[in-house]
Amino acid sequence: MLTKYIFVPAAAAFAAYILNKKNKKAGATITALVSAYLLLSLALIYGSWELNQSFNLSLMGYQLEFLMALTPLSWLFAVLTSAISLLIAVFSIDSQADFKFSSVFNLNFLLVIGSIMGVLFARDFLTLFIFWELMTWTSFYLISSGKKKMAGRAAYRYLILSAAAAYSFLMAVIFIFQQTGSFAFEPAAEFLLNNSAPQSILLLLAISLPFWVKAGIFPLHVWVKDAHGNAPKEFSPFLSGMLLKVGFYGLIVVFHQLSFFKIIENTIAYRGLPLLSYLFALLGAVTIITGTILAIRQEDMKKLIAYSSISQMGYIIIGIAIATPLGFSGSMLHLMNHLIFKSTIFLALAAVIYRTGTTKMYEVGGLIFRMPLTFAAYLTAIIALAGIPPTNGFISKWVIYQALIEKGYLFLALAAFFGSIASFMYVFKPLSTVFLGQLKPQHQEIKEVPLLMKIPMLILIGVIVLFGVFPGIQMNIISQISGDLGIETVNYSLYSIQGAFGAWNSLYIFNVFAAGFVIALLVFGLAKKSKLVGLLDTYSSGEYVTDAESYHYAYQYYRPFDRLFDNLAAKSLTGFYETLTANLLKSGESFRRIFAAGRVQNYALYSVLLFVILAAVGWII
Amino acid sequence: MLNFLEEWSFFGGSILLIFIGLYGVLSRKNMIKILISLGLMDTGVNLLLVALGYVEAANAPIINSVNPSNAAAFVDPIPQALVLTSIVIGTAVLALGLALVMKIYDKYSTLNISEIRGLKW
Amino acid sequence: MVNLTLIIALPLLMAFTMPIFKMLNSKLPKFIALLTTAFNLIVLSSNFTEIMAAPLILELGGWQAPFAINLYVGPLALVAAFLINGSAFILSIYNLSQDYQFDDKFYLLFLMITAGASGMVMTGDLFNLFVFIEITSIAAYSLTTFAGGSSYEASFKYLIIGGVGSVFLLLGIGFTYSAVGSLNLAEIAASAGLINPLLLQITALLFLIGIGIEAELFPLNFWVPDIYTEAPTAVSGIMSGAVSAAGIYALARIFFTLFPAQQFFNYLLVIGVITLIMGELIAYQQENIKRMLAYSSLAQMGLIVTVISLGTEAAVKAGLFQLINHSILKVLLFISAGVLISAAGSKKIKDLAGLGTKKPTAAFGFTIAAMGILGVPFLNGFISKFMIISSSLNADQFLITFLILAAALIEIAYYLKVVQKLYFEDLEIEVKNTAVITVPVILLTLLIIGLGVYPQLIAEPLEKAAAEILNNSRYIMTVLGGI
Repeated sequence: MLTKYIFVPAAAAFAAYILNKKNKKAGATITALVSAYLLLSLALIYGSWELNQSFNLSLMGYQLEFLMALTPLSWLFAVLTSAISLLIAVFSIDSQADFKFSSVFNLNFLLVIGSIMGVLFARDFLTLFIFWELMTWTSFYLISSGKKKMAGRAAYRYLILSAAAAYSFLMAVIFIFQQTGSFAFEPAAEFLLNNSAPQSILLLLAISLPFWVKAGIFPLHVWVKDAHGNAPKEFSPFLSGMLLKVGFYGLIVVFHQLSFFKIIENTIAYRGLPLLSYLFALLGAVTIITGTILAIRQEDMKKLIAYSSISQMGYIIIGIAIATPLGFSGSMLHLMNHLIFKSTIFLALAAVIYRTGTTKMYEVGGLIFRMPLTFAAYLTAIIALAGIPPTNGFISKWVIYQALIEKGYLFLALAAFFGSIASFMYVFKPLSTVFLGQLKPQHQEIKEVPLLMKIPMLILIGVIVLFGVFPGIQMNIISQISGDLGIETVNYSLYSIQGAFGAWNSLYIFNVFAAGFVIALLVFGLAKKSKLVGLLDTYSSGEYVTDAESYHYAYQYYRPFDRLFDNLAAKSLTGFYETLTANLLKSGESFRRIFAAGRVQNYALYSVLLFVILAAVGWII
Repeated sequence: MLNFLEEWSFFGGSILLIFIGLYGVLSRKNMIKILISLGLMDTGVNLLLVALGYVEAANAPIINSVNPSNAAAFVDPIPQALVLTSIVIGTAVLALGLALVMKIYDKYSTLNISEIRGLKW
Repeated sequence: MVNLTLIIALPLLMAFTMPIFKMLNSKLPKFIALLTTAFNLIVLSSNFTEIMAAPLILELGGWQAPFAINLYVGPLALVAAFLINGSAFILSIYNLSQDYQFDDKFYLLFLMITAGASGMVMTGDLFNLFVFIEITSIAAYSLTTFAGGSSYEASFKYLIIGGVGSVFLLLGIGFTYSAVGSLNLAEIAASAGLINPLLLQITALLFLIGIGIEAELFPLNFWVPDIYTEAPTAVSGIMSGAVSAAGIYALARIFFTLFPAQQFFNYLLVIGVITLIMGELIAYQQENIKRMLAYSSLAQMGLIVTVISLGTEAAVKAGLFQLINHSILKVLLFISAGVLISAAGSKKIKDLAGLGTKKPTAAFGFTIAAMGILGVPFLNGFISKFMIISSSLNADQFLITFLILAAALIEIAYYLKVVQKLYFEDLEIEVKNTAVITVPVILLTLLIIGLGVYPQLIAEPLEKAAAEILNNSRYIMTVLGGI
């Protein structure tokens, strides 16, 4: 039964809310237990792709059918959701104590999990819409409950954008409903295929709008930075790791199951790719570049990683848009890997924030001495993010490059390379400023995080390396998804993937790296130990430096590079949207200044005028 | 010609009264004058209603021994009933309005409607 | 079953004996008001099945229609009467913990406005409609002033506009009477086709203006924000929940039964959309929470008028559902906002920050009602929003659908500002003691969720009501019988 995946978290949500009022650890514990339960029962139904459920309802004269089914795609996303929420919940058990909105957080977190399950199993638009809206609303409250002042504003922007997109979805879906009399996917796909192509494309674009927003693709990425940066530190990993990905789930559904790609198959093409698909890929490229450049400029560690998320989303959308077997597999791999390493990064940063209470990078430094495990988690994750073997991030990027080069999409490939190389720059910034460098005097007493926070980070480190060596584990489910969606599958074995120009054997590479690591370890162990000296115990040309701050260079780290892009960055898209809406809403201001000016005689005059105008209209007609 | 005038003077007169009242409501600044104009409008409408029920050379619609039950000989009684009700309502509204004017005067010390704009937008 | 006339008669009787109750015991009036409205609800429920089967016609004074004044209670009137008396009931519960300066007079007027609004929806006679509108308005003018302060000014404005409106209405009634020779709605409807088209135009427009003022249509609605802002909370609630519903009913009755011409529906459609957009845009600008609710309220009226005037059965049903939701939600919004305002001692939205934890019940009431209005799934607003979009798309009104959704977006923007202020911001303020609204909040929340999860609950009344309002020949047949 699929409904239990929705109702168990929903019921647990209220229990968590009530119990959490008594004991602040109860909520997160319940979340962890529920996620573990979901994960287990999902594991049990692996492979039974014929599971489905449906309800019929006659509502206000509408015959509605609610359909749910298990597909490999939804199974994968459901597993990812419950796995990541399990890790986050375990991580957050200890960090709830100083959290003001702890009960609300757990209530909404469980509701988000439940509604994501609803979205994933939905096989008709109405179910999808209901749970999609629920997901948006509950995540709105989650982001709002962030500590910072901007959290409310960020959540607000997120919700408005999502709601606007959701309305476009609703309009298109109801339009299809009028034509087919059903909300289910299959009749809709059939109708769209037989309908005139421009109209179908328009409808599908409207339907996919909420997914674009959620996935944070340029130019709809404006909500991502502030929402990630200001959300509670426990929710940021989920937001970036999972919520963005649900957008891709929706896009895959629209592209493949609603036959968007089939409809545009015969339109104008560029290098064998329909123009619209190429446009999407181009959006992905722009997203990569924008996200990367903006990430480099950031001083706030969570916002930096948020921009990095945006740019990584670009890779995923490129692969999905070009829709070759390699591209699709690469995207799915990257989607999973990004979930893994991005949650690791956010958890590591959450650990730092938990101990130091700041998100500004220039306010911390040298934490490697105090939080070695957190450092290790962060390091592993950024190695994966930058796409360095033998981590999982390398493999997925490699497959995407293969796909791009195979078809000769030069610009896209360049953008992808640029994003990959420049990502060194932005991931190195937190590494160097937060973990390396000089420890601040006020952080001398900091300890490593408690055990319950260490466990999720350790697990994630393991998973990063595991998937870096054995991508076949992921490829197994991906090939099932490809098969289900009618895409050709890629040849793979447990530790190798067949690309366009040769295969990648990760075990071999891992062995090479492992050997190198052992040698380096030997050298390190045999060589003379360096001597640790105090921060101020240095020679500085006869001048006495008493201020430890000046030894730690962290503010405006990449200023020369930033200067290159100052002009570009000043043209903020957020600013553009805000001016636009502000101007639109200003019309309300002038309306009320003119009409509701407090003069009762004018009000009386309006009634006479309305009469005269309507009479005149009637006369003319 | 005379006949025509006689027939239309009721209508014309009452409609004129309505317009005078309307003009007053829309243009006067003094709140009491506005209320008087509102009263004028009411009166105009009431007159119009009575005029609608007017039947040439007919009697009051009261059945007694002098006037046997003969519908054709009566003016229409319904508008008269309406007007009676409407007069009562009009009076109530006016009285309430004047009470409000008193209260407003207490607060603002003015009767000028254009100065009483505490509530707007 | 109990005679439905009591719904109008009993509140009036109780209203005018209120001073006597007050003499008996100073606490008595508020309980009398509560009991009366509760009794009205019972009367309505006891007649429910019968009215669903066939409309009830009550002839007053022993004469038959069209000679006597008759009451006509069909499914639509029943729905509207339920809304009116239900709002009055909930607000009477709210009033139990409220103290007014002249409480006998307050409850006198409160019952009067209930009776007036109920009368508006139950009457089958044009002039009677006018009388009930005036009863309602006069009670509203006076009720507003119980808040003191600026409320006199608000009341005066309403009085002037209402006075001009009543002249329009009376003129319309006069013209109709002179053309048809009857004031019975059914008879007018039966012979409306015989009226000279020019006169018909003018008469219909006169009605549009006269009733449009009660139904809060642009640009006749600028009294609304002032009244809703300045009036005591219970009065804002009943104006928004009950009187506006009665206004919509009257509008629908006039234009669907009396003058069912496409031209007027087009007028109403345009006016409704303008009301909607303008109301939302202005509401977004407000810093005063009650004024924001007022503009939101008239925007909702615009939405309802827009949807109903699409004229298809699905659209009318959607509009009526929205009307029901609006009454439930706005009553809850107004009472919670009232409590929040008195807790913070200010009507400014920015002064309400942080009340979510200090006044949990009221903040919860406000939030759930706001989410209901915004159409969060499993709350009643979701269903009506779905029905509205579906029916307006079905009528091929893409532009209208688009505008409705755009307005909904603005609505989200300003309601969420308040919700976020309540919960996620903090302000160090002294919280004052306020009325206890636990019971109304629980009752209304149950309704909101109940209708959101199981809307089928009111499917039958809505179905019947929509069918009734769209078929004016059946109305004529039912009232006039074989004549």
